[in-house]
Amino acid sequence: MFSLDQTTSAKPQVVLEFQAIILAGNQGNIYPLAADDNLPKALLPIANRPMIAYPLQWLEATGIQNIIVAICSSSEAKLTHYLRNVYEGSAHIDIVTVDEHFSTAEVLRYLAPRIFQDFIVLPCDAVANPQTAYPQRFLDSYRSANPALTALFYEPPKSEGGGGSTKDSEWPLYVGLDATQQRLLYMRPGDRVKEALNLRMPLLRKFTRLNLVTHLQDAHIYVCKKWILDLVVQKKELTSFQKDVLPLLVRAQCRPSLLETEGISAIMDAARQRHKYNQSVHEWSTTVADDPMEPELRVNLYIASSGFMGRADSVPHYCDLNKHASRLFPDDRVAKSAEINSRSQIGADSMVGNLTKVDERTSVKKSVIGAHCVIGKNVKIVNSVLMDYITVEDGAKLDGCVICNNAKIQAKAQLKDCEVGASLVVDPETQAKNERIVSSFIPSGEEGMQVNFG
Amino acid sequence: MPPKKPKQQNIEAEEKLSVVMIADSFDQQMMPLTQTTPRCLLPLCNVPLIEYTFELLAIAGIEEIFIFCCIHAQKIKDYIAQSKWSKSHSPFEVRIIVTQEAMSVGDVLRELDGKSLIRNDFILIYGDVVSNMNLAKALEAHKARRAIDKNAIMTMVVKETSPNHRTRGHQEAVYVIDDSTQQCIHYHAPRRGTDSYRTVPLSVEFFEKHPQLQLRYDLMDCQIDICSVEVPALFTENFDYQDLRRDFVTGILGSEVLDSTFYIYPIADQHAYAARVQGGQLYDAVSRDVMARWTFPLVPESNLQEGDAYVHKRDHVYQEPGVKLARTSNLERNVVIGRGSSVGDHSIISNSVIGRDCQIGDHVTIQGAYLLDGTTVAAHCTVERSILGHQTTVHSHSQIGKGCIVGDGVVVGPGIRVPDHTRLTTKAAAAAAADSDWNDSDAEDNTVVDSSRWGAESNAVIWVPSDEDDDDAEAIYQSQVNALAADLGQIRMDDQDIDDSASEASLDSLEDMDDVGGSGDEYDHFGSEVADTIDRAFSEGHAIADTLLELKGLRFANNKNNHDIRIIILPKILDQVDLSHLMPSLAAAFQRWGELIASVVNSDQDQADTLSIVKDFCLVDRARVDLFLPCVKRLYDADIVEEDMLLQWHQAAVAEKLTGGELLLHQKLQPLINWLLEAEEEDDDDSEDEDSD
Repeated sequence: MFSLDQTTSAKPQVVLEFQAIILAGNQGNIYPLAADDNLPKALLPIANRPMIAYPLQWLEATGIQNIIVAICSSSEAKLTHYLRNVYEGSAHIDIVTVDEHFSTAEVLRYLAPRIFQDFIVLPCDAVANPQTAYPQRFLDSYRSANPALTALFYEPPKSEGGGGSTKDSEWPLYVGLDATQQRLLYMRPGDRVKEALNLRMPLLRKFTRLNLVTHLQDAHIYVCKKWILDLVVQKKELTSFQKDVLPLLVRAQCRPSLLETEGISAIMDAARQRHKYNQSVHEWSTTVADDPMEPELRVNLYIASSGFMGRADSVPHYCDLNKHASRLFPDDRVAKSAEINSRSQIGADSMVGNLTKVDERTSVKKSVIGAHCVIGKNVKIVNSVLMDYITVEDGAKLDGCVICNNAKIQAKAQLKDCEVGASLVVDPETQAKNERIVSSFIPSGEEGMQVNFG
Repeated sequence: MPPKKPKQQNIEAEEKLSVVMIADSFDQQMMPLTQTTPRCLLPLCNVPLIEYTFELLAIAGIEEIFIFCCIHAQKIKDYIAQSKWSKSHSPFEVRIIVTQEAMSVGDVLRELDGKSLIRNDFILIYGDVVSNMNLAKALEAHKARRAIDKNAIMTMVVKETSPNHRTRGHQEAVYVIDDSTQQCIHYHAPRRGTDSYRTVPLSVEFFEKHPQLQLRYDLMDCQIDICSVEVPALFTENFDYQDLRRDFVTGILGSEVLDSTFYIYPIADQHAYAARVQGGQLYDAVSRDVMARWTFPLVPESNLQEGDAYVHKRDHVYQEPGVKLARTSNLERNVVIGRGSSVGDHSIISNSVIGRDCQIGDHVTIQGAYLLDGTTVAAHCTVERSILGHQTTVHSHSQIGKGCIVGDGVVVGPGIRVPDHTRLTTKAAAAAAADSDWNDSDAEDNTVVDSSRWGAESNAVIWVPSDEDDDDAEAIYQSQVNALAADLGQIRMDDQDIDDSASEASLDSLEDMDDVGGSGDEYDHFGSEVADTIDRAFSEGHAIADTLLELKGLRFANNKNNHDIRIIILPKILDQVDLSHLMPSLAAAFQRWGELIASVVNSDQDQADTLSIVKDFCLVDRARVDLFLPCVKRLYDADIVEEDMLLQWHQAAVAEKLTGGELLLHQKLQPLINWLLEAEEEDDDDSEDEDSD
């Protein structure tokens, strides 16, 4: 269904020094798209490719062969089917079902027995341009600087109008870098800052030139030393990797007292001992990094100035990423098997999937339409994402909408900035704006939102 | 180059390049040497400091210099009158302005403004700056910036230097700059014993205009500023500003009314040197740098003064003709020695400056010491890392310990040891100082005690600093570390526990650690100030906006948040309510001050916090119980507290097991709660389960 190897020209060298973990369990904040009757979040299409294909391809570009995908039971069947039968990559994928309510650190704790070397954690919603070379550079920066952890940061591309009923309240992320822009020294999400940031003087005494920027975002992709897993296992109170583990490490860099009280130095010492032992016993071993561990705790970051596009962690981001990603595949914007009436217009900024039919006098702009859809006459689709098996009847207008699988928009309905749940039928001549139109067995649009964001 | 020249001429044609030089230190760092000589006339490597500054200005093409003298004005006048700078071939015109009563840089600039001497941008410099930088470039940068940003009132010249570099003199300042424009957004001068020593507060607003900030702690303040004419005017407006950095820069940057901007000019040239001789430690550091030729071309053999004739020999030894060196004497390295001096047999001198006509006897060791003109050190003496003033005499077999400063004309010895960090002056000078100074008692006591302590022929007494008003931890620390040959190991000790206080380590507090406020002490101080503000507002009927501005100022100055304000002002306002005429007086209080409360309550948490404060207030006194419900109702009516928050807060409180007063208060609240719940049900009966959230 999706040809993925078309973009990677040369096969990268096989990399055995890392294991990768894709966190695909959490459904995140993109209700109603990732509802049980539609698709699990990891399989939501972005530019007509399942979301999880992007991180998988990202990993394949680095040559990593050993990938663990952590999924939860509700999406087990669909995801397993996709990864086993549809996905065409060459890496070895290990599927592990974890508790639905596990937070990121808990997932790592659960997976710990399977991880025996340095590892990469990445979310299933990290969308990147697979053609760029930065995944290797990212790993190379980790290899050469040899820190405890390297985090991937990116400059978010400009929003293209989003979509859906919610508008994101975008908080800046305050990120502190050293003069070489390599070390991550400070991190504070904007929603936690009241009026002022308080930077500690000891930090400045140690790093006399500190860049404090707001234009970077955390991609939630981390490559870590094995001992960080030991830390996560040992310290049960750490729940989120991004909110607890990373800030702890960032802070501990110039706070020796924290290293002691949090037991980080003990874990590092143990890791160093083990490393020495490994070197002496298996001198031929390639799975252990050759250079000795740095005595100092360092958290680095790598800034992907291009190539990384963002995370589909909210509906507006999901819509934007669809538009960004659709530009990556100029050749198959309109699938060959699609039937487009010659009197309708498909904008050069839009995509149409396999076997979709578009009738006459219909215009599609800045939108992505999935496979097996039937679009009637005189339909206007702007700035929207339509998944698969959707029917849009004559004269309907969709602007800034996300329509889930099997939905039916009846004649002359006009929707603006709406989400339409899976298998739903929107009555003829409906007029709606900023609404979530979801199946009846979920109480109401309002309620649904509160459950999701509460 | 051709296109550049006409442009420069152009500038010169339309405006004169002028300099305001402040020839006073306003401190006691170099006492007792500065009892008789102003700091700018103290010789550094046998050249008065002011000569270095003049040289820098001459190279920069300055045409006019205003020198502001306070103490020792006559000496400076006399010096300049006889120097080459007042001759006809001098590149600039020197005008001396005497302001005896000026006690700070602020006073001088106010004087400058009052006399309206300056019409263009000018360079503000001190008479004790040693630098070989290219000032013209900094000026150009400033002018270019002025053309774009009319509000750019000041460019501060800085040099990238490690915080522990010896020429930085332990100035601790963090410049928050916009890296693309070099605009200085915030200037943070940490002061020991306050919150500012532990954290740098950065307002979120900075990021709105400048998404990429740089915090620079690696910049040394060269104490050279290019100012626009607005700077003296602003000093006049803010008559309480004293210090250029701590008061002026911080004050203007923090001002919400003014949009004046500041910039830094980092000296890009790696070989450029700039430092101000601010104290003994810096006197030592700069002297060494001059001898080690970091300040080239301002080195001893350039013979800045007319009549000097130094010759550079091996190992950075600079010697004038007419020096008598005994054959077995040894000038090891880094030595400057002036005409007419003599060194006896087996004497060893290194890293030192010997003035003119100094007599150094046999078997003398001089290390890292500075002997001004006419000093005599007799046989078998040791002088280490000290400064000996003009015409001092050290009799034989004496030892001068590290970090001593000995005033002009002092005689010590024979056979005594001056302990480390002693400052000696003559009895006569001490008496003179005591006469002019009103706190004289200490000095006289010492005169009696000291008479025989410094040797049989001595006229020395210990110099006693006159009381200075800023005796906070930072000032004391500064005077300690900036003293000559300061033992940093000892002083730094007590820093460490501030840096790594282990108390902050628990993981729960990890997230919000950055927001932790100060200690209880400061809180009380802050509290009383806020309370005073409110009391004044009550008694004098201030407008809400004014009061708010004042509170905001206090809040930022003390690094507090709105909660700290609320917890003080709410009880104050509620205190205004006359309990016997509850309803009308409450209405009046809210009418008058409701807006003030509203403006310190923003987020949901603020609302809950406000309710809790009101509750606590009402719990204190039985009589206030009746106040609670109407007060909460008022808060609700004034939209200070929203319905949802009120319900949530109430339910959260009721969910816990309440006792006594609290229970009573929440029972009192029940009618309001019921009313709200009913109203809500009527409002949207289609989503009944909404408040179950």
